[in-house]
Amino acid sequence: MRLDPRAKLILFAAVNIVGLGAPFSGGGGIVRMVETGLVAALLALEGSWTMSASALAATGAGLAAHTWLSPSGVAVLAAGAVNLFARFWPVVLLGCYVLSTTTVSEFLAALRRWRLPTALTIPFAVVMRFLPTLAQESRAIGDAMRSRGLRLGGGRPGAWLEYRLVPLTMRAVAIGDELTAAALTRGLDRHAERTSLARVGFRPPDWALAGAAAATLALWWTLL
Amino acid sequence: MITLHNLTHTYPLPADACGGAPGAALDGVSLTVAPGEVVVLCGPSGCGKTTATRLVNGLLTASGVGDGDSEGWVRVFGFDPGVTPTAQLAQRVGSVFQDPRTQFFTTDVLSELAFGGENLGWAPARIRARLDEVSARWGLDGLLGRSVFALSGGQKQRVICAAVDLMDPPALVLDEPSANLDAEASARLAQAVADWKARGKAVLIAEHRLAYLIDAADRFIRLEAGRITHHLTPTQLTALGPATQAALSLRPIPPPNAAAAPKTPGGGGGMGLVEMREVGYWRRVGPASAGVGRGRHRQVVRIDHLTVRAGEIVALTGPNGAGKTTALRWLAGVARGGRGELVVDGVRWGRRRRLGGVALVGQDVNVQLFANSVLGEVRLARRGLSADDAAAILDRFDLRHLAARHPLTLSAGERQRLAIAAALAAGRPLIALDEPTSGLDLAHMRQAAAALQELAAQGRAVLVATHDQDLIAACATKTHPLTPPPMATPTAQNASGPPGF
Amino acid sequence: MENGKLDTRALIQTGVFTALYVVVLAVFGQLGALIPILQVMGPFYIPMVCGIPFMLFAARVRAFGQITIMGILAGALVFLTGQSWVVLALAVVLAPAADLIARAGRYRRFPLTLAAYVVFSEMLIGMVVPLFFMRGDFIARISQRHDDAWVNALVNLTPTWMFWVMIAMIAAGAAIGALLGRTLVAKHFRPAGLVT
Repeated sequence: MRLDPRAKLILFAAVNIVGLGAPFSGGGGIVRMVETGLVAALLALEGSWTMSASALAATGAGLAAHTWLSPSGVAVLAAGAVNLFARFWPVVLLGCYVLSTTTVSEFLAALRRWRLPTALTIPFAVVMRFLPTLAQESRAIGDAMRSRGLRLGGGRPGAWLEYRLVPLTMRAVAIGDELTAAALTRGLDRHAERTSLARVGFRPPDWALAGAAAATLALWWTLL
Repeated sequence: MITLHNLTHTYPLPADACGGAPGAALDGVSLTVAPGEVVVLCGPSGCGKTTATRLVNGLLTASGVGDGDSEGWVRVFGFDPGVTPTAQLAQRVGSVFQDPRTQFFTTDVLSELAFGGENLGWAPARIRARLDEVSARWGLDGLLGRSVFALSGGQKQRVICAAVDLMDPPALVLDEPSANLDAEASARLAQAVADWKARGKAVLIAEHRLAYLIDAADRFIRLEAGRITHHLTPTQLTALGPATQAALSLRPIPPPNAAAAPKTPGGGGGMGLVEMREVGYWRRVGPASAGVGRGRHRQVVRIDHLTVRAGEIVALTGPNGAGKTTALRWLAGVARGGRGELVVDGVRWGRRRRLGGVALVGQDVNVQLFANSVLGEVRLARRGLSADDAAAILDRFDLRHLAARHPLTLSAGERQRLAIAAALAAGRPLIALDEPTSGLDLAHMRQAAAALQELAAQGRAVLVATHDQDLIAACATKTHPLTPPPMATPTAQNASGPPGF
Repeated sequence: MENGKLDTRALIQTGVFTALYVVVLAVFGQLGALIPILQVMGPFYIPMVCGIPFMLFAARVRAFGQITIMGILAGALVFLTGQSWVVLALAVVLAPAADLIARAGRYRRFPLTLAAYVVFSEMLIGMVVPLFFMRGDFIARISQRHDDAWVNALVNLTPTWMFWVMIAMIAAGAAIGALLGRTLVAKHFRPAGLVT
């Protein structure tokens, strides 16, 4: 299902605020269940059943730990760890969902509708383009370090950091220069008015999603 | 019409990042490319080819800072690229560059094709119409929804050509577009160039590898030290013969028969026979890297039996996608998993043993150089290697005079030789190299071949993955063609995904 | 190198370094999740390591605004990968401040660049703000259902003074990171011709 990136971002903001901030008890618990259900449903629609189940499991564990673990000794640490994980995990999963189901052009089109300046949208597009590239380059550097026996910096931890980061930074600069050349010769100009092929626009599912996000936030505030 | 009139260009700094030598990068160059004409600029590295292309597509003056000074003038269909605004220029000159991996601004094929039209502010309907046209012409219909990271090098280069074509510029500038392509992809690129020519485009190409363009090109212009030395038609170029071509530091045309010239292996070292037996490797293929969605496993390498002896240089050949790179990564122990075994003198080497016993010179040497001097790089290869011994190794590879330089200030050819020197210094019996000559001119390719022969002479067993026919002809003692494994057989228990980030 | 023009080139360069900063942040942050000792030291060593790409970026800045954009985008990405919105809110304030400080030295005076990086790095404190300050309602609610031991134990795990210690750790880590970055700029990036 193709959703408007803005609807996804609104849902993400709501899940982030509630997920990291809300309690597990009372209204917080209810709101958490609703939002986790939405996250799990979206992931399931993409066919990521494991991730979907893990979102439900994390929230379930958080609620269970909150309800049943008694606050003494080791249990406090265990409950704390579960609590922390249950807070972060659905947010992280939704973040993965947003990033991997939205193309860069969709993001750009959506952010333009929100009237973000090109000074932010162009670097944002570059970041999205660069993250996989950096992962590839970093893997290649890791390979080279292992193959050359420098995996742990050849015995010096300071050197390890240097070997890891210096070639990566150099490659990033070089690739950035080539990317700049490619972008300029294909007419990217921050002052020009761009159009977009990506179809963004709120359709019923988007309204439903954004509405649900707003409703959970409202629900949390009223139940507090 | 592309016109360069008495053009001289000087970079502000010697030894510029573009590989420019001190002095004028271009010196009084005049040439024209008429509509429907394909002109190829050739010559040794640093001869000014790239500078010329960057003056035509406006990159050298786009920022106006630190780009150096030009005299003379350039016109592209009446426009001066140096002062034409970016968007207007993009509609007049299309550019394709060397590395297909770095030319993408977006992450999926459809967005990449639309990118130019969007930048120019075209209405979506107009972009869509053009998109349908170019994707049909370039055979991309099946790729539109794909992530660019899932494409082969040849496919990427084709997408870039199509993306440039979407804006329908009358002039095209290509800077070493085939450097990272195999024979088949190069041939398709040549077809594309021929197609542009037939449609009346003025095409200017800077290239080292000339053979694939021999049918598409109208003229070859050879530059040296910024000056034009030769104007040649394809017939004249071919008629020069290999000896004269070599003297002009041009790659031989027609290319040598790769399987030819069996050479006697170099001096035998301590170790005799290296065997790869029944090697197979599987990889998860599927949705984009972030990992939401389903994937499956597919075999990417299959080698039944391959032998390399000490002193031999075995060329591992085959089209892109045949698994050459993965095979070498498995061999060197950096790729986990997989199946099969490496047997050295009758002893089976497990992954750890391979990691310590095989020196790997990967495809991109830029990410394999860690020291801040050339000498330091060689000393880093083996603990306790003295400066004198390291300098002696540099001598063998003609790098001694660069000992104090930072590795990244070297030319591509010198960097490649440095990585090879470091592999020798590591003192390992088996050395695996991945495409060591991509993007090198004839002189540097020859030096790389000499470097490989030096490794063999030192008693190393050398396995080199390459599709460079000239390199194979120059130094390989044997070739081992690799074919892409069939698409089937996804067996879960053999899952050997790439190591995590 | 500063010529005051925030053109397309400068924007692409900013995106490149933002990606680098975010990747280093994420990778070394994950390292902390795996090794408990590092978890405690996170506020110190993460800004230290990120100082390497940041200092090279600062040395290549062409125009005012680049550090601001990097900060806001990094904050937004950290937010998108599951951290508190407070990071983004802090970034919107701290990144322009850092940019102004660095500009006061025309991006070339090391003490000011160091100060800018310290200010820039403090946005990371936003990641732990929920642990310290948004627990008020949380504690109020659970204290209705559980006895005080529960509440005390949780409060003891995250005493408020730890928050100020973390701010100081970030500052110290960032300062050392800036020095480390400067060292590597001198050792590698300048000889390699990346910084003029």
